Amino acid sequence: MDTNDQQLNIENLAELAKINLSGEELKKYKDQINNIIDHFSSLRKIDTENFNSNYWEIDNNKIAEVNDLRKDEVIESFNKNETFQNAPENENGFIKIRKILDR
Amino acid sequence: MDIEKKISAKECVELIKTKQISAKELTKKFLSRSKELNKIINSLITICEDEALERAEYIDKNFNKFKDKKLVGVPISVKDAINTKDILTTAGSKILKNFIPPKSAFVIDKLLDEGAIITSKSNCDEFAMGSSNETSQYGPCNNPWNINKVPGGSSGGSAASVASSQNLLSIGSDTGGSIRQPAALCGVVGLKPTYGTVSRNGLIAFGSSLDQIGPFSKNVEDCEILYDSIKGHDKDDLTSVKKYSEIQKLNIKDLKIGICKELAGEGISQEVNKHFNNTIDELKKLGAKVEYVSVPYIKESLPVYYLTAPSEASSNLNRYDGIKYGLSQNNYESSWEVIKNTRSNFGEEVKRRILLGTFALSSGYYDEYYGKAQKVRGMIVNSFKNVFKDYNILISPTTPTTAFDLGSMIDDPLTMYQNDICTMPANIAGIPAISIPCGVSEGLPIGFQIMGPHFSDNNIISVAKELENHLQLNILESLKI
Repeated sequence: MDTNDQQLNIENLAELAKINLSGEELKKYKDQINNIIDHFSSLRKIDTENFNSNYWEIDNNKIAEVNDLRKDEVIESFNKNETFQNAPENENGFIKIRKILDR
Repeated sequence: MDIEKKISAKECVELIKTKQISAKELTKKFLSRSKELNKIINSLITICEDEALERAEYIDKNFNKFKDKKLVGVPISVKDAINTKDILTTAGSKILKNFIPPKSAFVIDKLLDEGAIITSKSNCDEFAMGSSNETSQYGPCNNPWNINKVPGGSSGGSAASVASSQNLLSIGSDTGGSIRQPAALCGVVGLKPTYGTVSRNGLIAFGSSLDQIGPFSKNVEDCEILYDSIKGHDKDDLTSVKKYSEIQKLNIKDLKIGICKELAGEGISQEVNKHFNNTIDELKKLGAKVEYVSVPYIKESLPVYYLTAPSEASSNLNRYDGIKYGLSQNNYESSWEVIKNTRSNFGEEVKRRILLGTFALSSGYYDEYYGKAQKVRGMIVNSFKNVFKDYNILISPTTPTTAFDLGSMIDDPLTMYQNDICTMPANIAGIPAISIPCGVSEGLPIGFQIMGPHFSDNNIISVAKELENHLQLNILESLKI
C-alpha cells in the first residue's frame, strides 16, 4: 500500500466527496491521509487467500429467523408539514433548489 | 448530600412509585443542577426544560398508567446524535444546527413508554467522530473529575452528565468505543450491546455496520434496567434481530476468563495496568480461572476500523447536501455549488474521514483497501468465535491511559485514533462489551472491559454486577463536583 504523491489525488477525492476545500486544507489532508494509509500497510502483509467470503456474520445458530423480511405493505408516512419542516426553501409544496443543468 | 448525587435510577423509581417525591419535583432538581453544571462542563447541547417538566407533570397526573414501568420519572440525557421528535438534534454538527426531527428514534419511544424523562441532549463529537468530544462544533465537554481533561468520546457529554449527576442515566452510541471509552474516563458504567439487539433506527448514521446504541449509568444494575428497556426487535431496522437465544448466566466462580494478550501490557500505561491486574486478582479470589489468551489479528482492528468506518461514513454523510434539510449555503447559482459549499461546513475531523473513506472506496483502490479490510474483519470475527469456544469472557483495560489533557491530541489524528485500540475489536466483531470502573489514579478513573460472545449481553452484565458488588469501589462518591 504505497501511496506516493501521484497516487493520492486529493483534489479528485474532494470532488468525488463534493466538498469545497481551500488550498491549505488540501495540502494538510493530503499529508495526513498519506500518513494514515501508510500506517495501515500492516494489512497488506496478512494472507487473506483462504478467507473467501466478502462479508462476516454473527452467530446465525443463535438467531431464530435469519431472513425475516417485513411485509410489503402500505404504511403511514410523514405528512406534508413534517416533510417540509426542515427544508431550507420550499414553495407551493415543492422543495426549491438552484438549477442543476448548465446550458 | 443532595438527592441528585445520592440515588440510583432504581432508587429514583422506588421514590416516585412510593410517592415520596413527585416526578415534577425531582425533574426540577435535576434540571437546576444541569443548568448550573453545564456552565462548567458543557456536557449538554440542549436542556429540554419545558418538555421535561411537561412530561413529568403528565406522569404525575397519569400515574396509574406508569405504575408498573421500569423507568418512571428517571431523568435521562440522550446523545445529540439520536433523533428526538420536536427537539433540536444536531449530532454535534453545525450542518444540523436547525434540525428538528419529525420522528423519534425507536429507543426514544421505548424510553418514553417506560416513563423516563428526557431532560437534555448531550454533547458529542461531530457525527460521533472522535475520541475526546473535542470535534463537537458546540465546544468541547470537560471531564467532571478534572475540567482540564477530556471526558472521552464520542459520547463524552453522556458520560460526563451521568458522572456529575445531572442525570441518572444516558443513552449514547458506540461505533469504535464511543460509549465504553468515555464511561471509563468519567468513572461510570457503559455497555455496547451485541450488534442487532438494539434498534439503530433514528440514530444519525456514522458507520452502519459498527454503530450500536447503548446505556450509561452509575452502576451495573441501572445499566441492566436501561438495556432491558431499550432492546428489542424493530421492523424498521433490517439489522435488528427478532428472536435469539441468550446464553446461560454464570457465576464468576464458574468462569474461564481470557485476558486478551494483545490488549493488555504493551502500550497500556502503568497506572491502568496496575488497577487492571489488581482486578484480575479479585476475579481469581472469586474462583474464576484466568489465563492469557491470544486473539489472532485483533491488533489489525485499528486499520480495519479506520478503513471501514470512514468508508461507511463517506456514504452515509452524502445526505447532507443543503437541499432537503440542515444547513444550506444556497446563495449560489447552481445546485452543485450549493452542495459543495454547504458540505465545506463539516468540521475538520469529519472532512478527513469523508476523504479517507472516499479514497478507500474509490475505483482502483476498493479491493486493496475496503475489500481487504472486510476480509481481515471476517478473520477477526472468526478469531473471536474460536477463542469463545474455550473462554466464557475476555477481559482487557477499556482504555490505554486515564483521561488526557484537552487539546493534547486534537492535531494528531493517528495518535488520537489509537485511544480506541481496546474498544474497537468488539465493534469489528459485533460482540457485546461493558466497561465498569476498577479504580482511580491521581484523581482520574480507570475502566475495566468485559467482552463476551454474540448475544451474551445478559451474562457480561451479570458478571460485571458480581464483580462490582465484590469490589465495592463506589468511586463517584469521591467526585467533588
